[in-house]
Amino acid sequence: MAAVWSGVYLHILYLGGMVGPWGYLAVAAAAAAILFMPGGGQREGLEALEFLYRWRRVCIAAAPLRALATAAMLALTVLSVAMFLHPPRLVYVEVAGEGAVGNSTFYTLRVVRMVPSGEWDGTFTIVLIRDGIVYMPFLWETAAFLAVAAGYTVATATLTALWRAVGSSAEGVRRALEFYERARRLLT
Amino acid sequence: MSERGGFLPDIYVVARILHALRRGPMPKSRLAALARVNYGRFQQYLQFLVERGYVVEGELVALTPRGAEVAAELERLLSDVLGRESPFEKRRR
Repeated sequence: MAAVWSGVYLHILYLGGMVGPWGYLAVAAAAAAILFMPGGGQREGLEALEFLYRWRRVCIAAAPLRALATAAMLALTVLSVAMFLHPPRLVYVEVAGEGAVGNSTFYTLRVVRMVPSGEWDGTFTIVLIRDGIVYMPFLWETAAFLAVAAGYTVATATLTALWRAVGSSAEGVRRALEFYERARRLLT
Repeated sequence: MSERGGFLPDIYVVARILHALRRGPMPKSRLAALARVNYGRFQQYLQFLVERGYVVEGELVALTPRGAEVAAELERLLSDVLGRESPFEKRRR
């Protein structure tokens, strides 16, 4: 969860010009590293039982949650690598003055910042600053990061909430089977 | 449970009969209703229980000492299985 939201946080830092495209690569590496971290399935014996007992309420070892986490980390890795290779280029401009001629208004703009920093040319997106308010246009990159993070959070919360109901049913069935087997042994 | 002459007793019906008889001897018709089987089927269960020495059949049906022991064991088994804390329930303080 922290890794997914760190992707959003870093994207915001990038938009603010506080980190460069290399930050995306760092997030991609972190997400890829989490993908290969050992989960509950790799434990054995008493250690595995203890792990499952301790984490029973969040069901960290449940297959759907594991699959969801893997999908989120994969999406984050791919998205961050794409951002590293093709980072959005932003030019922050501030309205320095304005004047009217006839029906037209003329603005004098001053370039405040270029993201990523350094000199570059080609297509870019303009971010307008006027009276201290930043007018950021809609970026599909921001939407993608938010969609991954929010989607993962909502799906995880929903699955975790459902887990207790599902787990209770499974526990009930397990007890019914146990009762049947022990009663059968007793009566025969 | 093993088949005896084509009769395959349901463990839950047997348990219901023994459980009902713990309250005391009772008529067959009442016991059949509590066992939730038709009267013909109930007769088969009754024969099964009599053969095993769990109940005695007269004007009323009653548990034998052995039957009472088995019924008590069933009760213990039931409370053991149901009384256990569920791992999915919140622990109340």
